[in-house]
Amino acid sequence: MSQTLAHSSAAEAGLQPLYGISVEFDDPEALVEAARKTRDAGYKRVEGYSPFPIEALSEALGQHQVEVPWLMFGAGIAGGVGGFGLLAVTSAWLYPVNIGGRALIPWAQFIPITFECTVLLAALTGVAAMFVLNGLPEPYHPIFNAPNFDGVSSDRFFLCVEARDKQFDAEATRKFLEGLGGLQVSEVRESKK
Amino acid sequence: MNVQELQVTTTELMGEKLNKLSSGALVATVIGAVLCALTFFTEQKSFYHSYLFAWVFWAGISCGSMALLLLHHTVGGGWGFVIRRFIEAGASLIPLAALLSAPVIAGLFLGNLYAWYQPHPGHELSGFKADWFATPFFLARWLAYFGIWWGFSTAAIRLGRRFNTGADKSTLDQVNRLGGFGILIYVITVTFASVDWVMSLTPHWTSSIFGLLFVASQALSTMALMLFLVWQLAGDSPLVKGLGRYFRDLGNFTLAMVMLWAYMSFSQYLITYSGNTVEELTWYQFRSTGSWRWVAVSLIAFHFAAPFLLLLTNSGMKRSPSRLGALAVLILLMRFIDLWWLVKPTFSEQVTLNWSDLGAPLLIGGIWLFSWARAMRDQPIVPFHDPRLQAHLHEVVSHA
Repeated sequence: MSQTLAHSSAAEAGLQPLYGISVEFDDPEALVEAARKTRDAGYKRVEGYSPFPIEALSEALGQHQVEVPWLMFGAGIAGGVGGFGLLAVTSAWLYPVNIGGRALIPWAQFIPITFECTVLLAALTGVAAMFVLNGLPEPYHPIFNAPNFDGVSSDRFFLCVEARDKQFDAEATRKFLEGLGGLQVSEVRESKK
Repeated sequence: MNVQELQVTTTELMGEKLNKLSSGALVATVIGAVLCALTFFTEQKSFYHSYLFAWVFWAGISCGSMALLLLHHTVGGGWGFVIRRFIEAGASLIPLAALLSAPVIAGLFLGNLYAWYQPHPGHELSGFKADWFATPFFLARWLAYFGIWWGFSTAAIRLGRRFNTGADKSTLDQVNRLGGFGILIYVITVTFASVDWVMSLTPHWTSSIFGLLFVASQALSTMALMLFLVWQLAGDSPLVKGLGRYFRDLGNFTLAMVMLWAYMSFSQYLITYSGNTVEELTWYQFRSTGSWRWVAVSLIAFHFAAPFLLLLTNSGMKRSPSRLGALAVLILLMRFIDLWWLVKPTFSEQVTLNWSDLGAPLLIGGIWLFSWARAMRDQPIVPFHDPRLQAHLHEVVSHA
């Protein structure tokens, strides 16, 4: 694979389109540091890969996932209102029964069901939203084509600048990544359809 | 972080601020004493009611400190090293808490506190309850609680301090065992103590969750006070900078205790409401009708909802020593109001605020904090040679 091939000429040479350029590390600290530098250099579509969660990496990559908490919050409110409403409507309106002179809506006794419905709906929504927004299940991803990528499930750490980044330039980006002190820099290409 | 920065003593790190705290505590003691005197010479009975709830709060801080220390001995974790000296000093004040209970005992003998001591005709206790609340047995239990706690707190502090100079594996095993066993004894003894101190104000009322509610309350009060003191005394010191990442754990612990308090308080209410018996329901009726209703509502809003939502949604708050310290002020205030709401409605149908309701917390708190500041002095700021601390200090940051 020639280093100097431009994107368009890659197709002419029978190569698959470029997905991005990856750099490999054997140390989590180095990955976080590289991610920070890459973001600072102005790249936006950058992804890190690691065998275990690294909290500092999400921060370094500027990832702020806000959708799932809000979806869960909304679902929780809906569940709570729905649970309480169901009890209130059935016991105070549809089928009112006087039990030991208690109020028709004894709010304290409704709390456990209200709580359960809140948690149930929020939790189910959270799991579903996580799958949908993550794009899971995803049996294929172009990053699998990066050489030595198997190591990311044991002791290797990858950073990949994706080709769809506005600032991406096959040569300049490659040079930049080579300056980060990783083990190796490689072009990552899509697989044949 | 430079690990050597943690090899200083408490006096070097915050001696000045401890001095200020001591003088502040003395001022509080004097103001508290004056306020208590105002009530004592006009409405003597009310003084004892105020003193009881304030004493239960501050005695609970000593017990809670011991419980957190035992907990840390057995489960470890970086969070405990941030507040280690703070809770050790708190736990060392268990004898002081016992001494400060003298006015409560006086209130008992004057017939101002516990209805079972001089029951109204027709309200005498019978059977097991009569035996249980025989005064000599009651006093013997009182002594036994403090004896047991004094034993455990002394052992926990002594063993823990072996790590100041270096310690072997066997010490680690010892603190581990002491912690696990001590926690068990603590929960059982506090359950009995909570029945004696507070539940027996209304002798016919029973609630089996009351003891655990006290356990959660003491842990919450203690954590809140220690977070406040760490913020005030060591806010910008190497202790907070070096171990700052553990504030998240301290914040999560606070959140858990806020939830546990709410869960058990609500369960107690729900069970009582569902049971619908005169003996049990009246306890809540006294506390949820008339003007007491608004105190009860404020507990739901500010003892539960406000700290719960702040800690749940605001993860930045849990990481910030100053914001946690500020939230701790609200929690401590609500802890006082909760205990006041448990004790005071026994004696007055409507909300009545006596001077001693403000004075007693200041009086006892002043004495407690003055002694605490003394106990804080001349200790290494962390048990530096604890192998568990060493493991945390050398942990790679990105793995946290």
